[in-house]
Amino acid sequence: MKKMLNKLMVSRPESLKVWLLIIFFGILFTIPLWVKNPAILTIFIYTFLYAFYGASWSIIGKYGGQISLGHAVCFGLGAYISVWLHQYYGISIWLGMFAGGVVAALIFLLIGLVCFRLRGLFFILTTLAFAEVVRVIFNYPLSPLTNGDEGIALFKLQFMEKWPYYFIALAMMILVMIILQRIEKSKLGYYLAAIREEQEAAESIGINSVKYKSIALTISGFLSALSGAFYVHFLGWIGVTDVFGIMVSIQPIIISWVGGSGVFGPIIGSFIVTPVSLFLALLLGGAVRGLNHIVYAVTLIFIVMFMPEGVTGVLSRKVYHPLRKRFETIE
Amino acid sequence: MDVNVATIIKVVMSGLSYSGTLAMLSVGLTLIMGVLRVMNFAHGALLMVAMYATYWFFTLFNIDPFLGLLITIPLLFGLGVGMQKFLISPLKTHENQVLVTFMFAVLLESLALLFWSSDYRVVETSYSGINIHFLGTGISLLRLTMIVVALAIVGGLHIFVKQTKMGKSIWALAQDPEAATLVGINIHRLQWFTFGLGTAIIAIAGAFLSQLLATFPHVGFHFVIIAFVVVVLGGFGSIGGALLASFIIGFITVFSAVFIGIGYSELVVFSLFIVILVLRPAGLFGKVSL
Repeated sequence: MKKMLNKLMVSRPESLKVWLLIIFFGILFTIPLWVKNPAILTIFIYTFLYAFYGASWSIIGKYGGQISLGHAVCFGLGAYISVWLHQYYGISIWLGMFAGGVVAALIFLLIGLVCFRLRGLFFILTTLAFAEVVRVIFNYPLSPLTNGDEGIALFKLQFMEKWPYYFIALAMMILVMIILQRIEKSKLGYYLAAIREEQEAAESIGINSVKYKSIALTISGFLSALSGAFYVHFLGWIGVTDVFGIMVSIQPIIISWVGGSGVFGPIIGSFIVTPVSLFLALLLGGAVRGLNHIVYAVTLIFIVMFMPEGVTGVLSRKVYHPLRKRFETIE
Repeated sequence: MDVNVATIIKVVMSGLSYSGTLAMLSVGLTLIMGVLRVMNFAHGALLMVAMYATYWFFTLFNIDPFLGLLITIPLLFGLGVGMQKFLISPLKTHENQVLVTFMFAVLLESLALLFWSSDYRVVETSYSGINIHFLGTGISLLRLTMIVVALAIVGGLHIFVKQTKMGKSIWALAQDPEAATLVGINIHRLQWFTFGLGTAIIAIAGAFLSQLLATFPHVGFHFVIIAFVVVVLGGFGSIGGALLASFIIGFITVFSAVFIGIGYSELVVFSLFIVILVLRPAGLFGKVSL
C-alpha cells in the first residue's frame, strides 16, 4: 500500500499536490454528513465565502501587485443590486448576483482605465475615495431604499437549512481556485507577473500594462460582487456599513496577506483568519468594541513586516518542498 | 434659502476656517509624501490622537489646549519619528508601506474606541465661545485665530525649507535622494526629522479642532482622505500648492454642503479628484511625481 502510494506520488511531480487536494476536498465534501451543528457549518460557509472574496481581491492585489482599498464598492453593489432586483422585480438572487457583478465590473474597469495610467499610489487613493463616496451615497441620498445602517431584513430566505449554502459556498471556492489557476497559467498571468515585478521593463517589451491591469481589476470586481450577494442572502439582512464599510475592503487584504500569493494563498488565509475572527466576535461580541479590529491590525502589520510571503510561502518552503523531496528519494 | 450679507459672511468664514484646517493637515502630509514618498494613512488617526490628548489634558489636569501644545507637539513628533523608524523605513515597497500606515491608523482608532468609547467629546474653554460681531453676524474668535495660525505655519514652513540649511537638504532629498546622499546629506536622520515635523504640525491642528469639532475615534478618517485630495491637487511636496489647494477644496466643500446638501460635499470633492487625476495628475504645482 505504502509502495503504491509512493509510486503514485512520484509518477508526476505535481502528484503530491493532487493527493493533498483530494484529501482536503474529500473531507470538506463529507463534512455536512457528519456535522449537524449549524454554528460549525456557518463558520465553514463564511470561511469558504471569505476565501472566495480574498481570492477575488488577490487577482489584482497579489497577481497584479496593485493594492485596492475599495473592494467594498463591489461587495456592496453586488449585495444591493441582487437584493433590489429580487425585492422589486422578483428576479432570482442567483441571477441578480451576476447583474451586480456586471455593474461592479464596469465601474472597476472605468477606475482601472483612469488610474492605471498613473503610479500605484493614485490607484490606492482613488479606490479608497471611491469607496467612501459610494458609502455616503448609499447612506444619505439613497436612504429611503437602503434604510441606512438600520438595514433591511430579507425575509424570503432561499433555504432554511444550512447545507445548501454550504455546498454553494464550497462550489464558489473551488470555482475561484480554478479561475486563479487558469489566470496563473495564461498569458494574462505572465503579463501581470511581469508588470508587477518591473513595469518599465514589461512595457519596454510591448506589454500594455493599463490593459492587463484593467482586465485583472474587472475580473476581480466581478467576483467580489458575487461574494457580496452571497453574503447578504446568507445573512438574511443588509445594512450599508455592513457591506460598504472600510473593514469590508480590508478583510480580503488580510486574508490574502496572511495566506500569501498563489492559488492556495487566500484559501489558507481564510481558513486561518475567518474562524479566528468569528470566534473573537462570538466570544467577545459587543462587550469589547474594537478588539476585533485591533487583532486584525496587529496581525496584518506583523505579517507585512516580518512574513511578507504569507503562510503559504513559509509552508511551501518549510513543509511542502522537504516533503516532496522525501517522496522523490524513496523510489 | 434666504441669502443676505450675514449668510454670505458666515459661509465664507466657515469656508476659510475649513480651508485653514485642511492647510494645517495637508502641509505636513505633502512634506512627508514629497520627501519620503510615503502615503501616510495614519495622518488622520494621529489627528485623532492629538485631539484626544488635548481633551484629556484639559479635562483631567485642566491644562489649556494651547499650553498643552508643549506636551502634544513632542508627543506627535515622537509618534511620527517612531512610525518612520520602526514601521516604514524597514519596508521597501510603497504597497507595504501603505498597508502598514493604514493598519496603524485602524489600530489607533480601534484602541481609542476600546478605551474611550465612541462618545463625542468637546473641549469648552473660556474663550471657545467668543464671537466677534461683524455686519450683523458673529464670527468665532477661535476660527479666526486658526486661519491666521494656519497661514503662519505654511509661511514658516516655506521659509524653513527655502532658507535654512536643514530645510534645503530636505528639499534636496525630495528632488533626488541619491544625489542628496552624494553631497553628504545624512538622509536617515533627515527622513525621520521630516516625518516628525509633518506629524508635529498635527498637534497644533488638534489644539484648535478639539474645541471646534467633536472628538471621537473615527474623526480623522474623513480628514485624511480629503487631505490626500488636497496634496494631489497641490502637487506632491509643494507647500504653496498645498495651501492653494486647501482653499480650493475647502471652499468647494463648504459651498456644496450649503447649496447642494451636506451629504453631497464629499461627492463633489471626490468627483473633482477623479477629474484632476485624468487631466493633471501632477497637480497644480507638481514637480515631484510618485
